[in-house]
Amino acid sequence: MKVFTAVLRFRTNGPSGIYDLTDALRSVIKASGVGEGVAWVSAKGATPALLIVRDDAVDDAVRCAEGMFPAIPPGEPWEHGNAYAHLRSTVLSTLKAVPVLNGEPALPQGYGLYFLETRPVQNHLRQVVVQVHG
Amino acid sequence: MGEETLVKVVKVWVRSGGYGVVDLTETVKDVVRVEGLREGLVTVFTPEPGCSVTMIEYEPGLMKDLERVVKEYCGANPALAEALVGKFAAAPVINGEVALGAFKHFVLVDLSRRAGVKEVLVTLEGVHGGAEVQD
Repeated sequence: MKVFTAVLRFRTNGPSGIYDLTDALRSVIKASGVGEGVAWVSAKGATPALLIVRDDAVDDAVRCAEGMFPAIPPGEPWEHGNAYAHLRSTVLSTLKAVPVLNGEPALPQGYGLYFLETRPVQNHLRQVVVQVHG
Repeated sequence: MGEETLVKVVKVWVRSGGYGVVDLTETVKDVVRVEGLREGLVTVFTPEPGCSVTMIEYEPGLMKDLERVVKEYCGANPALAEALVGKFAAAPVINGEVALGAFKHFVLVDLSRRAGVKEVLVTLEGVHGGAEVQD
């Protein structure tokens, strides 16, 4: 077994910016030379989230994420200023696994791997680690 | 030191008051360093009933917010909290460093109401050795 690591770097806008990483994932898998294995994808930081979602449901998924963790009880602020972003990140997860078959990500047709920016940022540098084991 | 690709599970124990959170990050980093995982994945899991493992900023206010969420969605049932918060977390290791980024920590969430020593399983998968490991 070998391990191949690449770090994707890109800039985000938010809140609720959504970025399709599927082509980048495919490129890293190709560069790894791995035919059969698994690609671990991990977003650095404590507020983003990674989603594997059907392409035509991406907008609905973003709206769904925006509705997660309103203040409990309503109107009573969270202790932490960015709690909503941290909690979405924790529950949706910054880690995803995608199997690799025949040198390709084994995502169903019409599905993609997406990065969700949860914070109200502009031109924010983000890093996603793609590690292919196989 | 030679290079070897393998999977290894290391048991560690952390002390918990029985209700609250324990930061596991330094413990996990220590295991990665001592075992010499250079490039791969570190997985953190707890077999303890009533305990969860997740990744979140370890900050007192945010821990209170997490407690609010767990109470709201799971009531007083630690088994439901295990299902919601999860039993494991994982992160890549690059050049011997756990790639967490800013503020993200491995955290044990203990709702067991049983104070004591809690077991955590740290699984190291990937290329070990082959580089200088300071111990």
